[in-house]
Amino acid sequence: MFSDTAADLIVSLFSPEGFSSLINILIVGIIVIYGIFSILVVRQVNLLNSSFKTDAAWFFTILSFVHLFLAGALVVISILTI
Amino acid sequence: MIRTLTSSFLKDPPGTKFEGEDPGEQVLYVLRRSFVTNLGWILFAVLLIISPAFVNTLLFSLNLNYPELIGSNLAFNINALWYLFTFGFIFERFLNWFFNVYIITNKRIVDMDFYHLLYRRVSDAPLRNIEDISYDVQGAFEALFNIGDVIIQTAAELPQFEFQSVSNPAKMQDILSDLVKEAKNVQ
Repeated sequence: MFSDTAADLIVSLFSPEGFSSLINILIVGIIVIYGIFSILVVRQVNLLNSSFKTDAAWFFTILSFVHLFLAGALVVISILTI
Repeated sequence: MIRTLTSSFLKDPPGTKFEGEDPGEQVLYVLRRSFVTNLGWILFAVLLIISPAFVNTLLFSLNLNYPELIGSNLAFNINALWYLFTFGFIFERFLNWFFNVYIITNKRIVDMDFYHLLYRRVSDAPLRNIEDISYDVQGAFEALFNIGDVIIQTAAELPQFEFQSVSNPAKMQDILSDLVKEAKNVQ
């Protein structure tokens, strides 16, 4: 019974729909990992700005938050469209 | 601010402070690797930006029923992830260049190294402990753009500092020599 289900699942992966679903889940996983990385970037930019402060510090802070916002938006969109 | 963002040689940079700066210490120069050393990753970033256009055009032209073949949502997600990654790559490379600085103050030299956003190393040496300053220019690219390494021997904890790939190394050597002479005379 279980082996039949597993076999069906494996076979379905080779159909266009199954393959597409697999890629979809893989891409969502990568996007979520990238979202976590973008949080790290914000934290690191804050540390860099405190280690070496210039008059461009605000620019890097804004860019890091834009990056975080875009990554967050993509995480939400990809999960909603899965 | 544009000058701060793009210059690899800043004299008396406005509003610049660094961790561990002493009271009364004044930042005289901020140096980075020459901007042309960024050429490699800038070209790679251009390739990253234009490649989806080529790939998408190729998939359309192959009559593979793209993007319906993989679903338009998935096609959007892949393209969006690609451009987000490209943005992140450019941002990370620029930060890497911008925050890898050599600071010369009226008291010391400071070498700040940041690697891959997750590792940093800061070394410094008082100007009075500097014993020898030399520079070398190696290679056609370096000779063409007048880029070289300034090597500083010190009697401090770290015996050698290297200001790598800075613009006009001869001028830097001269400036540093004058500052060291001044610091030793004051002492």
